[in-house]
Amino acid sequence: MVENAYPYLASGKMTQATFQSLGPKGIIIKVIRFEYVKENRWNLGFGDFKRGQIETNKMTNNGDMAKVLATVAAATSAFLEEYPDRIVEIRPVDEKRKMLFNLVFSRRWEQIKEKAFVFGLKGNQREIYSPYQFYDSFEIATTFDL
Amino acid sequence: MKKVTTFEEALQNPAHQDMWEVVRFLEKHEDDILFPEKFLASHKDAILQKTKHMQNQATASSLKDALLEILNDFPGHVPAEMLIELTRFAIEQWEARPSTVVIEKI
Repeated sequence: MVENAYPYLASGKMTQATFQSLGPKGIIIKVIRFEYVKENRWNLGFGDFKRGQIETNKMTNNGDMAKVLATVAAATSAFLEEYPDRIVEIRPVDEKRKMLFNLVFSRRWEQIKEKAFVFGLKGNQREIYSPYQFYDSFEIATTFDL
Repeated sequence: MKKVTTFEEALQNPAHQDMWEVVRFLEKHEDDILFPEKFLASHKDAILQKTKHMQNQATASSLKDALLEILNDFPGHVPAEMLIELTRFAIEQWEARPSTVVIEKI
């Protein structure tokens, strides 16, 4: 999956990354952030950088969604490689993204499971991820017992 | 082009000039919360779990005790406006919890 990623710029601590999405709408600058929540938990956020600020609530539709998600996956993988004791939370901000993330996890599950442990959450109920279930949010770790 | 370039390298390389604005923005806001809706959602889930746990364990008997226990878990970097929202949410959850008092008929 990450083989098809865009090249990206990353902060020294690997908590931030940015790259250019290229498509019919031109060049769109994307931002990936791992924001500290508490203890060992970090939230994954990504959005567009426009007019000097981050836009998080729009689907860009630049015709390269697979490549954009591959880049986010690459940055997440690099973050967890750097910090194997951390957990990354993925919380879709709307129903469209919830559908999208469930689709990505189930379609790419064979590749993802080789690199990480994934938990799915339905409300507050956390379980080991199953590609046959639909989840509200996800948690990714490189160690099972985190 | 290599897959990953650091911000530091990018800022010194004119080939990345079109990305300098975003890199500087991200460096400036490194410790800020840029995705507040996700941050708040995460903490609200934690508050829900904590309220449930406290109710089961009976570790807090008053709103004040409950709030102290919940707020004690928050990291130091939560901005004031989020702290207010989360505190309000914690109070709502605590007050909305099912009563544990069983009133028996005499």
